[in-house]
Amino acid sequence: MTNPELAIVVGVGPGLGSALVRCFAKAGMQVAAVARHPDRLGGLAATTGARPYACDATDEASVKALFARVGGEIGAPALVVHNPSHFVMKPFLELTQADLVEAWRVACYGGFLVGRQAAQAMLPSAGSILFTGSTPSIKAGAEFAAFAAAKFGVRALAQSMARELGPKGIHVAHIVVDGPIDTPENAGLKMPKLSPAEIAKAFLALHRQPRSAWTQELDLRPAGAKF
Amino acid sequence: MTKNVALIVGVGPGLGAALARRFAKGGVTVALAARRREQLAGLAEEIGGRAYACDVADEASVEELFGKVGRELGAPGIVIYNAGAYSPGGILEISPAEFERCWRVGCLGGFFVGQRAARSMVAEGRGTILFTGATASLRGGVGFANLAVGKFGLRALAQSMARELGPKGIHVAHVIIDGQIRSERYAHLEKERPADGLLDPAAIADTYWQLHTQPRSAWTLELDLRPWVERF
Repeated sequence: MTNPELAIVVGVGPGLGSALVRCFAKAGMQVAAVARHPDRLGGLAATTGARPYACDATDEASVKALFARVGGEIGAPALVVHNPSHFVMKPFLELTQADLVEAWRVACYGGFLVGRQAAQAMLPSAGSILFTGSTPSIKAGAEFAAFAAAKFGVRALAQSMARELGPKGIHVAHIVVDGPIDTPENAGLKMPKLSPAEIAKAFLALHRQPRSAWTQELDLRPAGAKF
Repeated sequence: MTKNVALIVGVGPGLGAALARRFAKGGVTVALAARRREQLAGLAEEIGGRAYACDVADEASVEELFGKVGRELGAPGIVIYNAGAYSPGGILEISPAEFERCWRVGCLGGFFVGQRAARSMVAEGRGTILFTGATASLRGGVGFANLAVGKFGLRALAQSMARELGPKGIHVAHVIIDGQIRSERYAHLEKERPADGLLDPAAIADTYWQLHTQPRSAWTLELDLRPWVERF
């Protein structure tokens, strides 16, 4: 019997990250759940069998160490998801250099470090690398200059990786989650929200696409959303 | 409970046939429509579906199609617009008549079918309408004016419908097929490429089925599909 596929989910918080871990575990995959503070993942690990790992995804040494450890303890990943984001919403004149840099580091720089390490771990074999995008990945609204600049950048990274790595057998896709996710912190928002479990199913479906028909980008939103 | 009905408009031997097989496999009663009904007989028999003739560029013909399908199978809860017309040619060569015909099949037919589909779906408060796009939905390449004008328009139609009909429970989605679909016509290309180098119609059809089965808390309006080795 072959070992189950390994999924590495980088950026596991209580919302989408946790739903991704649950979804992949339920689908029979082994899951490495990665967060800056994995001590918060104890409950999730217990219910899903996922292994928690600590990593600062914006630190090159930490990302390299993560992939080395997971590789040694479990094996090579078939699926890697880059999910972290650092939300900034501020009037333009109040934005600081730190806001811009931090949003960019978490989204673009971390996406690059994780994406590069994931591709190295997968080659010469196949695999999927998925990036979580959001509305500001394609539309920069008022007060979103810092965040949207970072999210646009991740989209560019994913596009460029897809064009280069597709012919090597690695499926790179970018998912635009176009609306608020139904999480405790969004409880106060009076607008249609996306179920994290349903978003996770779309990630899994992308991973399972046969290579004769790969999607590079798809959007997701609730039925009642204005867009 | 009666089975859901899928109406696939524009069924040839490639993607249309694969869609029909996939939706039949999903337990849906399938109605097939093409210009010439007799071409559909074998496929209809194979999947236990029904074949209809329709000229999508003619409003009365589309109305008649929906009337017949409604009476014989029930109002469709899934409608796929897969029709298209294309004759390649440089901008100095293509004729106004051909330019108009391609637009009528590529875009106006999508409006006729989409509007008629939405009418009965709005009353039900649910339904899926899927449009087949192409590379030319985003890019007007050399020699592709006939196709791209209709395909750009079809994409705009799908976007506009999605924004209006989503809150009414109808999922409208547009699929950009960015590459050649495996077929006899492209057999020579298939030989030049590595395995899985052309789009497998069955794999595309699986993605249409996934779009149809998405729960409404997370709907996709648009996705692209291409083979792993495709340059884009």
